[in-house]
Amino acid sequence: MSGTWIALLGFGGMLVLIALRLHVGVAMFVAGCLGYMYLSSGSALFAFLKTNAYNLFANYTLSVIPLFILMGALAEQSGLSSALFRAAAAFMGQVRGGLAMAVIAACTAFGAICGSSVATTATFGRAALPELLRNKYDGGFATGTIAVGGTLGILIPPSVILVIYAIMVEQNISHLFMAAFVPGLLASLFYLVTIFLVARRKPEMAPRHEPMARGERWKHAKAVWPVLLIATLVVGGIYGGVFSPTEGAAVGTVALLLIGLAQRSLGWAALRTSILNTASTTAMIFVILMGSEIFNAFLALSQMPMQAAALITALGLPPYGVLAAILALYILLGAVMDELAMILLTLPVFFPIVSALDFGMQPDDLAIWFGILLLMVVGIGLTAPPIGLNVFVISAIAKNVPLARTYRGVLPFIAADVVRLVLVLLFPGLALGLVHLLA
Amino acid sequence: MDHTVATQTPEPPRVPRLIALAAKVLAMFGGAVALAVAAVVVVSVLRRWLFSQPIPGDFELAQIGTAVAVFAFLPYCQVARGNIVVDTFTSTLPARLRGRIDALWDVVYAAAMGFVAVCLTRGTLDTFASHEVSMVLRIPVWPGVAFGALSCAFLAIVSLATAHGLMRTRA
Repeated sequence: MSGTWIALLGFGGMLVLIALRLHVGVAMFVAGCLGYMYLSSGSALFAFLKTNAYNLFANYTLSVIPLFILMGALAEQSGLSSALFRAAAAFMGQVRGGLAMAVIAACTAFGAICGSSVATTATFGRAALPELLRNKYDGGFATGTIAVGGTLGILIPPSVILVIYAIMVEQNISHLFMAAFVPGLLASLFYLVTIFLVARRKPEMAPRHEPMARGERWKHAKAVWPVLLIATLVVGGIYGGVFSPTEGAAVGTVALLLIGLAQRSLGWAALRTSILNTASTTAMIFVILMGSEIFNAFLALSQMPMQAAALITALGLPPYGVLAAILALYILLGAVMDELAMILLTLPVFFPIVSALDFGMQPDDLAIWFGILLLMVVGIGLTAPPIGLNVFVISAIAKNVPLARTYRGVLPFIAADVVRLVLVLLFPGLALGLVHLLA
Repeated sequence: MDHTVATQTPEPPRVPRLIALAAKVLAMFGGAVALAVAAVVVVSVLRRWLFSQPIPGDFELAQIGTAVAVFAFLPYCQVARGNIVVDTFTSTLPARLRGRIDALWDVVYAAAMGFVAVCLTRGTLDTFASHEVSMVLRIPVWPGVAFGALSCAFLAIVSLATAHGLMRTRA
């Protein structure tokens, strides 16, 4: 049997295992081990795994992941997300749909210290949802807004998905973070506009809110200076090349810890919860990484990715057509699969194909641009039916809003997502401009 | 990104209290190591900034610390069932059958991690024999690999315990 067939068999077997409820990371690990053994030998597999797990976990670039997760967990546990929401609501509350807009604004700021969309959704589900429902916002509109706002956790750098993409395609993480900045801000802008339009067309979904006294407003604004300062420090420091992403994450973690302890907003119980949540999330990611290491080693042995790239190139299809087809496929995959696993699984096959396409740009630019497109598609997959992870998270919190209502609430935002995707597809400068300016 | 997809088993399966406690303590230890890594990196950044003199080999400490922390996190993730399960086709199955399937996969996970533990043990012996050390600080590599082997072995035990717990609660 040729390597390509073995690789396809490995892919198929793995997907069956995943469909039968095996953990994604373990499915990749099992399929990868068997394939690797078949194509080389048992002793080669043993030699590969001897120190592979250790070397993978002791990778300096990857050390940014637990630190970013810890930073987000500390911010969540010390109540910064609710402070952000209250401050945003104090200023935007009197506009129609203002509380929903406040969710987006607060998620944008929170996204700059949190690299995870599920964590962002969960924390704002607890911090903002009761407030929205108390003000008689439509249930599905409220949960939909928070599910979509949660995607800003990854769309606004830092983001764990971008770190992993950067490592896989050997690109500079800081450059990817820069490239994500303008599209990330566009995302929050488009979400604000969407809320404005929805609130205008269906005023009953988003009632008006009492305006707040000026003194009251500034009191709320003052409570958020730590988080804004840290976000600026971390993101600005990474963009300005003052420190590496790992150093930025470490600075943010320590700063949040110190501020939390000084303001007494972070007690022992909160610290313990932060660490345990970090442990669970980090371990989940690294188990997937461990599985993808061996699976991708197996794929490389099979030479299937190279052959697929050669085949597509030989067909001479229009580059934009191929790219659009790949992105469409990702949207479909994202609807039934975990986003991180999806990227780790498919990138070794798709990235060589994309790299071989001619868009008239430098290879590095192409890799960064594709990464941002991929990030946006992942964001859509997090909220789109039938398996939008963020929607599940918010549903678990909002017990009295049916899942279908949340999906309906998400729909107008998905339209905004598609517009943004097309914009960045047509104007790569939206992503690359800042990289060229700063790097 | 803690993928506790809503369709997963609502409650983590019961495991012996000692195992759950050990996994939790290990995770807290990993958290302490991660915080220590953050502190070392911050001190290094400050020293670089103030005296242009970073801590030598700070990135090696970060590497070793991260590896230890992540290995320490693994067993807790299994106890808390933080791993992703995609539930597309099996959500219609009876809960009892689903529990049996999950128990089977936990045994597979235990086998895989047991295998990794064996491989890492071999890696420990090799790095010990070859006196492999880190580049700047010349810290021996083998204790980190050994910690990984121990942690993966414990993870295998935890997975067997969760498998056992799943069989009992659904039976």
